[in-house]
Amino acid sequence: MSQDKFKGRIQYIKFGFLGVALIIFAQLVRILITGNDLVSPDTRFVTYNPERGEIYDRNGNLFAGNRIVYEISVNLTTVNANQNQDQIVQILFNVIGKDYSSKFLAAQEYNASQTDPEKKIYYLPLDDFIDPEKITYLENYLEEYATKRLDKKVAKKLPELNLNGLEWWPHLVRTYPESSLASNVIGFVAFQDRTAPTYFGIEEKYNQLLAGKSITVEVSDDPNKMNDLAEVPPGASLILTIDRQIQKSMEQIIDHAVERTGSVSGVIVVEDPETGEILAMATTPRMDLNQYSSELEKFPEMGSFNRAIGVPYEPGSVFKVITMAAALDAGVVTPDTTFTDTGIIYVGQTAIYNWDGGAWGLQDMQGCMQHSLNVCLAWIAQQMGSDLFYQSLENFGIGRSTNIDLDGEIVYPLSVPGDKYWSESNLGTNSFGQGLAATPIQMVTAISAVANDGKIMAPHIVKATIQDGHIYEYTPQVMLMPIKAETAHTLTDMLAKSLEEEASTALVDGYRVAGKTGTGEIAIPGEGYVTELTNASFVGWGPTDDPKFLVYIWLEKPTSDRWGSIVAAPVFAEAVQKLVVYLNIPPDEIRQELYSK
Amino acid sequence: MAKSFTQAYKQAPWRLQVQRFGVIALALVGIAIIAFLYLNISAQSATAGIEVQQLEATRQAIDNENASLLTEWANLTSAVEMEKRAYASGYELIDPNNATYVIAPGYTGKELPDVETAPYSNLSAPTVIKPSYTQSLWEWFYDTMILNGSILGVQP
Repeated sequence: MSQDKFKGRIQYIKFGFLGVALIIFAQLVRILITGNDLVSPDTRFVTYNPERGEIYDRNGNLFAGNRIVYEISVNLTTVNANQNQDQIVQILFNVIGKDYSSKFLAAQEYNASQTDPEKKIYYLPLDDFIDPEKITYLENYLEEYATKRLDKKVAKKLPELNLNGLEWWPHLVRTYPESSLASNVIGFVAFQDRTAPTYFGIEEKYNQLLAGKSITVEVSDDPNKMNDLAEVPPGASLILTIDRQIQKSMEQIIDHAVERTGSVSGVIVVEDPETGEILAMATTPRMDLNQYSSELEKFPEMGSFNRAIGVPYEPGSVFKVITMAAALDAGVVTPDTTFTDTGIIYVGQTAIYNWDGGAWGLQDMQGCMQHSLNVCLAWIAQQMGSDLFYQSLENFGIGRSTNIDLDGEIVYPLSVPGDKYWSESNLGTNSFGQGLAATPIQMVTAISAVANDGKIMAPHIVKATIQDGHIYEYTPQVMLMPIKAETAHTLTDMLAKSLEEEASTALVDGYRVAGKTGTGEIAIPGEGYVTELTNASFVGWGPTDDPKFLVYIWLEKPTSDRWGSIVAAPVFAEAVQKLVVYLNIPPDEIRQELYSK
Repeated sequence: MAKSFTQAYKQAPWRLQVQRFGVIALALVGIAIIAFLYLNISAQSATAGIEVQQLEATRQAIDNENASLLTEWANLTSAVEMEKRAYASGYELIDPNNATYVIAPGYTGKELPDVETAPYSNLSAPTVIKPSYTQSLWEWFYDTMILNGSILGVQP
């Protein structure tokens, strides 16, 4: 080989190397310049779901929180490669107590029937919502097994444990530490459903706030392409106006009352009339929110999950408080106005009688309320006239939603003159709470005007929201002002005297309270009003000089006695005896002494 | 008329070879330095990335654990449990008529509870990852050396 030929080959090799070097350099420069804009196949979109916000009572006790559970799954490709399906099934049976072999079989049969590789199952979820204790047991078991096999002698006897392909990881689910307490207020998250829908109460009403905002980001498994990881703010937490202790007491009281009176169901609502805060809302039946799937059958009727907001009924004579308040405020009557009760009055074509069918003779307005005279109240409504009467009811919010912050409030429309189903006789029957329907929360809201200087505060359950580290406290709002303050004081005094003169079973030693009983007859389709079936109610508030609570009681279809004064009034007394302790309200005499110091 | 001058002598061939070798070697050293820098920064970036991912996973696990512990605490102090413990400890429900009431000067009633919630997280907060971990070498060079004036001498 000549020297020139040799040099020529060297030149070719040089150019070859130079060319390769240039290509590498060019690629390097391209990557350096385009850098993060490269779309890599190891990039994927991941959705981060925030932790659902907690729900607390007004004293910081947890009503709804979250707990860790585990999902167990297998990577079928790995399992098939390791031929360890039987081992996985056996171990899971020992630890979890369930046989998953049928799931493997179903997946294998499905894969065998698929020709398209993309349609085959590679990832098989075996189970979900496994308690952490079982996973800890599994992990300890595996660790102990591995430790034992470190000993060569033991290792010969123990077969190698191969669980490759078995995976488990934690996630949070909703849980309710108080089980059934305030269940009608809280509602629930159906966490066993992958979409986790919410039902009823606070959970549904505030779902968007509690759930927070999911964030989907593009992440890369290549750490060189690391981006800021998503900071997912947790959902907002809520502090309720509900007092756990008061709620519990009221639930115990209503449970006993329902049992004692043989009622179908019962409701107690406790409100602070000065703020509209609901301190307790106890209804029957209730459910263990952690067992929602098996307990939902307790609520076959619409609205029955929370009867305090979901079931309108004819309240009966408790409604007379509203009629009398409207008449006093309009100046149609005064406490001293007299009425001679003959035991019957015709309004339209309908004859109206008293609850006992009797004639009570000359009565002043306090007497009308004390003896709960239908004839007298119908006469008052007549004196007011239908325009003023129904305008007054609207001023009290009757027939309209209270807009309480709970899901599922039902409103029964109020028939007024001009409506298809209104007749003149409605004026008479409506005056004493028949021929119309309202939910307990509507009654509480309307009558709270009498307990709060004529002002109706918007009823609410959420006291504060905690979001992004800040607490946003709810400011009480005046919703309506249907009567003057002096009217409210006058009527409160009349109703307190009524209870005292009647020696009502609603009275509480040491505390002056005002209140009114109600016995609403129930209309059965095709039969009309059946006197044996009633709704027994009581509304009361106190202390009368500075009301701190308003209590509303409804017992549906009591069988021990049909009258509200017999079955519902004692329940009020029982509730107040508890309330004054929990709310730190001293007896009136002591309170006056303390104030005078 | 322009005249071209021709050197009277040539460089010795071995000198030319040394010069060529030197130029090529210099280029190779330069490339090696760049490659070293790139690999070094990439390795640091990758390590940091993995650490961040691990820390994020740990943080998530701790958040979950906190949520679970909060609930466990609530289970242990639920109304039913507390009532049981109160009775077991010999407490009784008070008779309101036997209660003693006193005025507590300055007490204005119960305030909102100081509840334990998940820590504050602000998406608009400045990024926690330094740009040097997410920039390409070219971006880093451009930002640091040119924009910040290290080369142009705009800024002190």
